[in-house]
Amino acid sequence: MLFQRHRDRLWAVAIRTLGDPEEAADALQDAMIAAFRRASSFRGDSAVTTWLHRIVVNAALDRMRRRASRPTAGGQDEEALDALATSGRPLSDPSGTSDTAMDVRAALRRLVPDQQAALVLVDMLGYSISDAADVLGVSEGTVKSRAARGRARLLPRLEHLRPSGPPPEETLTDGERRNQSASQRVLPAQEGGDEEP
Amino acid sequence: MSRHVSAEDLASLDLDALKPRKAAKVRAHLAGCVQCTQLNREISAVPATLASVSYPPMPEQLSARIETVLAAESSQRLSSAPATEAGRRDLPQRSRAARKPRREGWRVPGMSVLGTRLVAGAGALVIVGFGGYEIASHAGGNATGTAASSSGSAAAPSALAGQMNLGPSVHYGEPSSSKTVRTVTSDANFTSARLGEQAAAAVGAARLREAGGAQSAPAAVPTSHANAARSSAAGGGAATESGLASCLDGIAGNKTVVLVEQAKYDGNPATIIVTAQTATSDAEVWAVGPDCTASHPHVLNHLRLSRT
Repeated sequence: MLFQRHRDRLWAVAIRTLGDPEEAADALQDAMIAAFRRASSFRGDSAVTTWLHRIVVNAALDRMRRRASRPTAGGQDEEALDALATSGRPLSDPSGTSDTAMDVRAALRRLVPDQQAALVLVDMLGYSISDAADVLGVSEGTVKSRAARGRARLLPRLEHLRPSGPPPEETLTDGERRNQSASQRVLPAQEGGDEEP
Repeated sequence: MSRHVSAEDLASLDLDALKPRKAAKVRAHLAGCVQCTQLNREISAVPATLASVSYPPMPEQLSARIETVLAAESSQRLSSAPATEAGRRDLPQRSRAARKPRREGWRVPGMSVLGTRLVAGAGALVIVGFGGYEIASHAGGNATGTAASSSGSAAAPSALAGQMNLGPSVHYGEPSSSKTVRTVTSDANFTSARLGEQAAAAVGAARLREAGGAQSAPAAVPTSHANAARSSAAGGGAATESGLASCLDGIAGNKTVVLVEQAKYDGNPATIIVTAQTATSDAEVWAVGPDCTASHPHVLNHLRLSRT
C-alpha cells in the first residue's frame, strides 16, 4: 500500500512542520483521506511521492494557518508565545528535550508557515531546492527566498548560535531595518510575508 | 561596501539566491569584515542545527488508525457511489441518502468506533480511488450477469477492497499502432450487481498502484503481444499474457485500455477490462473469462460508464 511505503517520510514532514505529535497525526490522517479522494485526479505527471508529500505539506500548512488565526491567550508578548510553543512539546518525546531542540521547536513555530515549510523540507529533511519546489508547488527562487528569510529569522532565537560579540551596528538589506542588532533585526512572530521573486 | 550585510542576504548567498553582482559585493565585504564573517558562520550553521533536531517516530497505532479510516472511506465511497438515472435502474435498492456521495470526512480519534464498524469484514486494505466514472447503462453483450445486476440484492462492500499487485505489461492493437497497458492482479471479487462501481474504483486504485509501484518495480517487465502468440489462454486459472493480448485486441478495438485486472467475477477467475476512447470520454467495462481471445472473448458482463 502506498501509504505504508511512504509513511515514515510523510510523518517526518508532518511532525517537523507542526511540532506536535497529535496535530501531526491528525494532519497525516487528513492528508491520506485527501489523497484517497483525489486518487483519480492523479495523472502521473508528477512522482507519486511528490504528490503525496504535497498533500501532507498542505494539510500541515492548513493546520498551521488555522492555529495562527486563533486568538492567543494574553497579548503577543514574545516570551508568552515562546512558552506556549515550547509547551507543545510532547512529554513522551524521548528526543528534543535539550535546550537546542526546544529552542529550535519554539523558534520554528514563530515563523510564517511558508518559511517553516521551506526550512522543514530543505534544511531539516535535506530535500533539494528543486524537490522542495515541486512539493510546495512554487518556483525554486521562491523556495530559496523563503528558506533565506526563515534562516535569518531563526538565528536570533537559536541561543547557542547567538553571536558572542556585539552585533553589527549597520546593515545593508532589502527591506530590513538598519542600525539594529542581529536579534533586533528579526521581525515579530508570524510577521513578514514572502517577496516572491 | 561600508555597511554590514544582513543575515537574510548571507543566507541567500548560502542558497545561491543572490544576483551575481550583489553576491560579489557581499563576498568582498565579508573578506574585510570580522562581524559579518561571524554572522555568516552563524547563519551557515542554521541548516545543520535544524537537521540535528530529532523528533518522535510515527506512533505505532497511527498507521493502523489511518488504514482503518481509509478502509472506512473506501467502504463508504463504494456504497454511496453516484449513478445516473439510467444507471440507477441497474443498482440494487439503496436509499437516496446512501447514493449521495459523501464529501465530508470524519474524524477518528484513536481507533474509530464508526470506522471500525464500517470496515468490519473489509479484509485486506488497499487504497481504492474512484476513477471518475459512474454507471450509465448496460451495453448489451452476451452477458450472463446483467440480470442479476438489476435485481440482485445489495452486495456488501466487503469484497471490494483486495490487495492489488502489478502484473505484466501487455501490448495490444495493430502492430503499427501498438499500445501497452500494465495489468494488475488482485483477489477482489467483482460482482454482477456492482461491476460498474467496482471497476470505476479499480481504475483509480490501479493508477495509484502503478504510480507507486513504478519506483520499485523490476526494470524488465515481461511483455507479450497478440501477434507473438495468439494461442488460446489457459483455461480455469488466470489468463496468460498472450491470451490477454489477444483478448484485448478483440475487446478494445481502436479504444484505449485503461484497466486490465485479473481478479474474480462472481467468485470465478475472470479479467476485468475497462476501455475508453479518450481519457475524458465514457468508458466501457468488460468482465471476461480467463479463456478470452479475440475470436472468442467469453464476455461475462459488459456495461458502460459515463464520465462524471
